[in-house]
Amino acid sequence: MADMIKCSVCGENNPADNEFCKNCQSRLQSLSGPSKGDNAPLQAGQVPTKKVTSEGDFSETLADDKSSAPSTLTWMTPQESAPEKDGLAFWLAETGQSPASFSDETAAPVQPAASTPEASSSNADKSDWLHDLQSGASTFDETPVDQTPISSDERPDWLKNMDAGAASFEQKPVEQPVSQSQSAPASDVPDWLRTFGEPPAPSTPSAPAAPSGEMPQVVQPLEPADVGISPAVDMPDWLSSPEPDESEPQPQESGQASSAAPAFADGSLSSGDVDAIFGSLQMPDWLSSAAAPSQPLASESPPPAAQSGASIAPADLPSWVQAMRPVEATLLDTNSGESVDSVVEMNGPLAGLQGVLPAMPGGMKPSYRPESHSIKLNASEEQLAHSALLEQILAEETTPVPMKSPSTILSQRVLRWVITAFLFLFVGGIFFAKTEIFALPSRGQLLNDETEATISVMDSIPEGAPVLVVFDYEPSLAGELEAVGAPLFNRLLLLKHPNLAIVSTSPTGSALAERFMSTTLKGRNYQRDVQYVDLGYLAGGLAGVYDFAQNPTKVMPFGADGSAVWNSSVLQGKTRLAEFSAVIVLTDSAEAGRVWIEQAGPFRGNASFVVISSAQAGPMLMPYLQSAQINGLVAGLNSAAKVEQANGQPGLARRYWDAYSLGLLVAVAFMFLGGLWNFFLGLQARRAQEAK
Amino acid sequence: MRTVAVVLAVLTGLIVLVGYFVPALAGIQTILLSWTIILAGTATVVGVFNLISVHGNKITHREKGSVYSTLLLFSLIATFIFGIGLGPDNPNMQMLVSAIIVPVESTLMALLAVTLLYAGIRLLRRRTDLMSIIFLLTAALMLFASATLPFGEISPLNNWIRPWVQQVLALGGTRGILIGVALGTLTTGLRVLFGADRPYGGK
Amino acid sequence: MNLIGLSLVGFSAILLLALSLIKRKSPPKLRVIPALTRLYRAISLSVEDGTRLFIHLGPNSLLTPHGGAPLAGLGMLRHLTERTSFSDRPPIAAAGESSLALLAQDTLEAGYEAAGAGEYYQPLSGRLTGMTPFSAAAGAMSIIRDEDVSASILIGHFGVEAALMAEAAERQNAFLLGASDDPASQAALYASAPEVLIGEELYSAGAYLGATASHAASLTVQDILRWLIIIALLAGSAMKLFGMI
Repeated sequence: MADMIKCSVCGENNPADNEFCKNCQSRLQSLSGPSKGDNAPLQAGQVPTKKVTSEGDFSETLADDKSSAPSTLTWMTPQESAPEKDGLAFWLAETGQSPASFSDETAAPVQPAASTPEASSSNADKSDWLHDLQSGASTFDETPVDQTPISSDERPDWLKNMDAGAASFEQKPVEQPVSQSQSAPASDVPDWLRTFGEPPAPSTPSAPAAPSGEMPQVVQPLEPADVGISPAVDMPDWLSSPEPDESEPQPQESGQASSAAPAFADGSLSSGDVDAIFGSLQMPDWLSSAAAPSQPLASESPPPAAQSGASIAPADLPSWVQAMRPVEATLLDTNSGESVDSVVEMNGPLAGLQGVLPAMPGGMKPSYRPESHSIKLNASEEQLAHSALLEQILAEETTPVPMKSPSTILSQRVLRWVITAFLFLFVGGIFFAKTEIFALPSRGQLLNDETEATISVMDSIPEGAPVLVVFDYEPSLAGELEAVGAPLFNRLLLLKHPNLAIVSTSPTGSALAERFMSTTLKGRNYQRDVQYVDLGYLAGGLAGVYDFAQNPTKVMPFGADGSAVWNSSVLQGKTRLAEFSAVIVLTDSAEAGRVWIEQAGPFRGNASFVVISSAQAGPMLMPYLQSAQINGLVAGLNSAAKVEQANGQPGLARRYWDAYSLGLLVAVAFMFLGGLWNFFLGLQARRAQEAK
Repeated sequence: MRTVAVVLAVLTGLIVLVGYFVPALAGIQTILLSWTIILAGTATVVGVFNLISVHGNKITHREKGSVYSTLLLFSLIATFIFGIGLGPDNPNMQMLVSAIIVPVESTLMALLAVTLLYAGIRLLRRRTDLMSIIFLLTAALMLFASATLPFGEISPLNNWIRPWVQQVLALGGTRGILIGVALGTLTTGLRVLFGADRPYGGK
Repeated sequence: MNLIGLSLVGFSAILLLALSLIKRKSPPKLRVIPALTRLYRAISLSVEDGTRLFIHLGPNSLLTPHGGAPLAGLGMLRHLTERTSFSDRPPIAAAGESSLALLAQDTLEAGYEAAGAGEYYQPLSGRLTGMTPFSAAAGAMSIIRDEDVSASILIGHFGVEAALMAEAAERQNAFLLGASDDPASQAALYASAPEVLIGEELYSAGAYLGATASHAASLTVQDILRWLIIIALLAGSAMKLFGMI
């Protein structure tokens, strides 16, 4: 099989004329030659040599490239490990031309660094077409790029030597325009590449170059050698040096074996060639204007690599071209001192690229423990001071301000103790002294004196009659009520010898009644169940008064001791309230007295109703006396003293009267003097507050 | 359940209220009042348990005043045991009332005398206004008019001024207050009957 | 049949219903009572500084003619519980009578649930402080002294023993509002308590804390009936004076 090229990717045999494999669409021939000399890839820190490239229409060139572009990007497919040679730089190096030398026919061809004999053999061919390019560089702006395709024999060796797995671009094969006359074998060769081997021809600016499906070099990803890929790194086939082509002269050895040849060598391309390359593309204005001063650039001293005699002069990469360099160009920087990731991606869209994804330290096992980072805030002293100040401000806001509680004035405690002392002294002293200095209140001075009515009622009770006595006061007022009730009960018990039925509306009432009968009326010698009976506690308190008044025997059928008191000799078979001769209520509150008066009043019939109350309840019970709802009222020690005077026998009222009177006088003195003092103090404090 | 409680409360209140005016409902009123008295008696027992719980919790958590709570519970249990054993009519139980309950409460009453006197003295410092002055002067006058002097009573003061102030001024004002209180009680009771106020709980 | 009493009750009920319906959309216009204004502030302060609120309903039972005052106290307790349920220290409600203490517990629980803080309710925050007025006052004094109370409210039927609780609050520099329907107690509280409600003002306390249409209507009914009674008294006095009756 003649003229068959085996695809390095899939192993399919392809015609030699094919640029791309018909099976896997990978590039069959590498684009670049070995990277030697000026064609060597750029190293870190190395300034790429500026080259004058074709000023043709980039769009045409791009269109031409598209016509024969393979469907897949061969550089994306798994590639065999490429040779270390850099294809693109190689062919540039072999031409020995620099961009500046495109328009300078007399410029010495730059001798690219050649690492292999194969590369050097192709340099000679390249130098011819580049030389041709150089001669045509002057007509770059004026003459259109001749779209005449070159034959396969006329193709530069670097192109032939490109591996089948050279990267191609993902461009659909575009139907070649009619104007682009191409021979069948050369149909895949981009026009801008074809023009490299053609003599400069007048070209119209409007005639675009028709690349055979490949993008122009300016938009192609640069060869690894252009960006300084070390020879030791695996490169995709399209970037690696092509298979050694015997017909190609080996690239010349250069003193700088490892130095990267500039991508563009001065003078390597003529203006016409540049036009052929870029004629089909839309060239930016800055590039167009740069074409003019390309000649002065030719006078610049070529880089050392170019001085080695390579045919292609190194070119200066514009910045926007450098930005388009592949990722490996930034990662694989051997002079940076960083460890070089030697992993070449084999799968996926990054296949063939090297060092794209940094290898994980310690193998492929992911580290589950995240890196520890310092949480210490890096703040300056000023910032720390500001934050401390802010914290202080916030702390003051949240700290509760202690309320200025008014301290207990010592005088208040002193005053209380003084009052207590005076009362103890005067009241207690005169009580224990048993004096009778103070005169008792006179009786009979008032019209409608309540005590006189009461005495009359008591005297009207029949002898031995049953009397209902209600004990409805609290233990706290037992002292007063016993003192107030004693004179009247003494008179009653002494004169009339009634039978008493005791009932209470408070739980302590029975006990208080027993105390009253056994201590206060001890002299009368009344015996329980003989002269008096205890009916006990009336359930419900004042709420049970109405029911009791309605039917006493039903509500309280038994006595406090559980005996049948209603049939006893004391009560003599009395079963209704009206059958009692009198009802006497001892109470410390006006409300209890009112309840008994209003609830039991309708059921008492002709029974006398007498209320013995404390001094505080007297005024409110007086209307009941005045309205004749009750028959008698003894309120307070004052009334009790009058009853005692009527009895003719001194009792508790006389005994308490001196202490009672003196205590009242002391209280009046304290209130008057102390009140006057505090009045002026209060005025003073008020004025001071108003002044504030 | 809340609705049932409301209905029961309203219905019961209406029957008791109307029973005062309509004799036909007097019987039901009496029954309801009897049930109320029984419930009030039961509540007394529950109240005692509440007392035990509160003071027991105080003792358990050793709060301030837990010593007095201990004394209270001890006294309560002892009185209960003695009352069950001896009976309320036992002279010893009577002595318990006479020797402990009456003196303690009388002491508080005596303390009240000092408290009220102290409050009267400082009244004008707290409220420096005309009403306070009148209040204090009236109180002092009534106290002075209730006492007698060694040489005898001051008749106009004791026999005329004091009764007049008590029966006219004080009683008139008290009646006015009591009328207002009665009206307030009436409207409050009506609000409870209508269910606007539910002191028995509920939303 | 007591027609006068029945007609008075019926008239009051009809008036209350009608005014409740009329006033349900308009805000109530209440006169300023300084004591209640200061009470509101004291309650807010007690919630803010994490101290306790103490409400005592008095030693009187609901089964007495003076059961209206404890009822008003329960209504006020409900409002206060809803406002202070989220305080650091829960309010304490006490009474001097067992049935009233149970109702206070129930009202506390209802207030907590209404405020959405049912889990914060403690049954022991409703207490019986004593079986007699002075023993209940002594129990209340120990609560005011020992349990970090900053605001006390006495609302119910109190006697003169309320002055002891007022002095206990003064010793603790705590706020105290006294409201009783007993004139003697009102006199004692006027002298000893920082703030006191006189007369029927205690029945309006609930309206000032949480005014509803029925509350405002009841105050209006009271005012109307009061004027009617005034007119009746004056008219009767005049008629008696001129010998007409």
